[in-house]
Amino acid sequence: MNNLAISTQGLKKKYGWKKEAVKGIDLQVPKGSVYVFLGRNGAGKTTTIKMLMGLLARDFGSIEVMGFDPEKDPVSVRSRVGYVAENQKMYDWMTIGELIWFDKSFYQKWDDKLVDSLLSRFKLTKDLKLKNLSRGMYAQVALILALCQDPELVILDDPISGLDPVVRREFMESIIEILHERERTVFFSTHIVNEVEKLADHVGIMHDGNLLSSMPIDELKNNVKRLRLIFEDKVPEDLSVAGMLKKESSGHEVLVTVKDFRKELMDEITNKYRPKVAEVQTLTLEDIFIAMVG
Amino acid sequence: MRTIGMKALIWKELREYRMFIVAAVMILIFFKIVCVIFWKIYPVHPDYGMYFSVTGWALLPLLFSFIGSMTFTSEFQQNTKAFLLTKPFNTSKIFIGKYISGLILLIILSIISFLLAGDIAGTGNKNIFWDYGPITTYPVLLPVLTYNLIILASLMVRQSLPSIFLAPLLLIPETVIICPFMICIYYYCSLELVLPLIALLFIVLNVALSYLAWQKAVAKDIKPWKILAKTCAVVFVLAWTFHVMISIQSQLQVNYAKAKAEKAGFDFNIINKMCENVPDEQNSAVVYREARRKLESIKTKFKTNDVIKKSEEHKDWTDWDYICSYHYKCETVKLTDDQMARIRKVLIDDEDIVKLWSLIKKGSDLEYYRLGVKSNDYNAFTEHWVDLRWIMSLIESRTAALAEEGRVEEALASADVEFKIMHSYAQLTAYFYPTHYAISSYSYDKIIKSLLNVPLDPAMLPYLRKLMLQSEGFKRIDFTEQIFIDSVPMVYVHYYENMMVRSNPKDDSYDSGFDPKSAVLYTNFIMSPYLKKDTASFLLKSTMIMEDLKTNKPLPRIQYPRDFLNGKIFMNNYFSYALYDYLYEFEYRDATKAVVSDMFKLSIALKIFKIQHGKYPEKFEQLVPDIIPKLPAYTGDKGKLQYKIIGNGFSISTGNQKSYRLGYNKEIYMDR
Repeated sequence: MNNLAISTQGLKKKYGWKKEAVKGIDLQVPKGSVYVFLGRNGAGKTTTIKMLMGLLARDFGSIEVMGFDPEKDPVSVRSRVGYVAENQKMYDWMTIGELIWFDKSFYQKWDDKLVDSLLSRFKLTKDLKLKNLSRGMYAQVALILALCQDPELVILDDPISGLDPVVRREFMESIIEILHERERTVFFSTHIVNEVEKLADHVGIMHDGNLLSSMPIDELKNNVKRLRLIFEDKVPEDLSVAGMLKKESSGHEVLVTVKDFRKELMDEITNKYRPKVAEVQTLTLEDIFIAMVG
Repeated sequence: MRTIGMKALIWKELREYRMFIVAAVMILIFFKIVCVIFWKIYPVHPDYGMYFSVTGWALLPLLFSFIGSMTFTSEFQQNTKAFLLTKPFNTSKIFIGKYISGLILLIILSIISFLLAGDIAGTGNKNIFWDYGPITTYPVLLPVLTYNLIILASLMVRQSLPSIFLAPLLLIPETVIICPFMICIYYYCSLELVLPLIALLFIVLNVALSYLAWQKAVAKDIKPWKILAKTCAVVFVLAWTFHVMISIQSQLQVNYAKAKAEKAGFDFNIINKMCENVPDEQNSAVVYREARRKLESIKTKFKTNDVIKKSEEHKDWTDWDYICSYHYKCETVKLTDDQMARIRKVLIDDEDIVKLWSLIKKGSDLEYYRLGVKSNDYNAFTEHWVDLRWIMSLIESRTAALAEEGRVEEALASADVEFKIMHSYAQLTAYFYPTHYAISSYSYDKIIKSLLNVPLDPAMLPYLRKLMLQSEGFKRIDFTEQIFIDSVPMVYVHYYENMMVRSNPKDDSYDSGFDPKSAVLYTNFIMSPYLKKDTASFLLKSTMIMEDLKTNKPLPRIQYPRDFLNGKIFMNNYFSYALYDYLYEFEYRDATKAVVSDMFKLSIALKIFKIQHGKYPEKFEQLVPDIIPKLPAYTGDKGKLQYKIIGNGFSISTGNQKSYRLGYNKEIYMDR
């Protein structure tokens, strides 16, 4: 357990009587990893993160964030976690300098040099008022505040949603650079998959309140493969593959995405259905995501 | 570092709402300008300043309301809640920080408004000083209460504007919840503390509920109605449990105190008998009612001019005016000897007046019930009270008339009835007012005056000498003890049992005075612990006095609890108020009796001296030994009675403050 930055067991949350937003998930984020938490809008990502931050009480299950229960000891959790919320709102009437001073006063550790370097990297000055910033700059300020307290864990709840592609790319690049400079655990929740692939070393995929998958990205990519099968005649109607996530047929050709790929699987398919061509394709994270939740 | 967090939070709050301070200053400056303009245009009116400063003050609660409504809701409305709450800072500390910031703003606003409003008040009139009262007394808690109520409302609805409208409505359930605690405050504290403590109680409740609402709002992200309802239910049950406990405790106190009082000699059964249908011939109320009817017929009978034969200068006066106030009108109005003799004849011989006198004598001698009115009927009470005064006055006149006729025995008998009617009057007073009014209803000097204010004629010497022989028996002063013994059960019944629903509809001369339903709600349910505690205390203290009376010891004040003699309890304890003057009277009762007796004796001696020598003596010593063998104890060296010749008459008084302590602070003044 000590190697885990975040660990949940059977975590559940219901809104009202019927809507179950999180349906008993077991999440394990190793320390030092960059964990990308994927899911469509409404999958339960933000609810999970709010419970991780102690902003929302869980209905069932247990949570440990950096070894502390966020409900029982929220201060210990929050002093170790840098957090950027989805559509983070801060005090717009403050200047960046005032906001940094305000934020700094809550933390025991604070890296002023990092503040200055990030400000210059993002081309921000302390006298700018928050209400005059663009969305990208606003998100950058939120990121500076989350990083400069020198947190052991950074939780980013969809910080890039709503940013235009250029700003999004710039934002992601700066995150990658910063993360390379210091070794931290990062828990990055998003639904924009292609931007985070370079970043991730662990991936969790959330769908409809369930955690469909949670593993290192390489393992995920090894496990989830697409099989391209071409038949002489038409595609057999009874074509069924163990662990099949998706099947797309067109003429004599069929593309089957499976979640538990192994070499023997190809032999089994070849022996059973005798395709003319059988090849294994490696998928991008986005493809895997779409195959799993689409 | 955490303290720095608190400072940062307070800084942020103050900075965020600094516009309120600017707004308050702007508004008040605007008022000042308007005020100055008004003054320039129309300078004769001096009150603009006060008007505008009061208006400025009135704005404050509005500003407090806005601050209260925005302090917490702004985090929800601006969606900055997540940003603030994810700081490593306890949610309770955030609550405290925000709450304190609001209070600081409130204080700053108050000081600014106070200073500027004071300046506005002085516009055009340097003599107007701003009243600093509101800032120093408990009403200052009311804006704080408003602030707290609105915080709670704002946390419940998470909207600033609706919370301002919701806040006053919250007072209703809150009052129901903490009503028993309010009663406990009445029960345990003196009156001057009650209102501030009730305001504080509301503030504490609102802070506690606001805290819960805040914690619920930030931790679970749901609206806090459920937790508030649960908390209120707990507070409600606790409050009422406490109330029931102190009710039982106070009931036991009353039972104990009443048993002790009965043992000491207070006759609470008299009160019970009052409720029975006392036969008319034994009920003084019935006899008094007849006397009052007789009084009406006498008034009607003497609305004439036949006795006095009124002169031009007094054409508005009827015979009745002279008859009922003979004892003083004969001094102030120049009447001929003939006219005075005619009035005296009517007073002594008129069959209706004689009948009235006998009725009063009879009624005063009866054991039961001398009130004759329903206790809730204040109009009837006043009427009865006024009638008793008329009757008293008429009997005083009759005593004076008999005295002037030299009929000593009859004059003294009349004076005796005068005492009795005074006693009834005092009882009636004791029933409706604190009994110290009843004590002051006794006018010794009036009775002495009606017996002594006779013409300075040698023909009066036999009368005065006989009176001197009887003066030793002039010990009617004991009646203050009797009124005490009688009125303690009356006060008990009137302020306690009557309120505890006790009525006898069969007897129209006695009634509880309370509608039973409202009495049940008011006394048994709401006020009973307070009422019972006071009742018990009253009975115990009365018992203490009674025991001292029985042993006939002087009553050193130290025997009584300090608070009892202390002005503080005066305000909140009606029963103590009722007893207050007894203590002073009783402490010096022996001295008081002696002083009154001495004043009477000396007055007779002075009258005799004047008849013999044609003038009053320079000092008391000249009366010895021809008229009195020796000076009474309270004259001479002790010098406690002061004697002065005034015009044709004289005055004897207890004079200085030291003598006042004797318990007798009246003066006998004779103007002839």
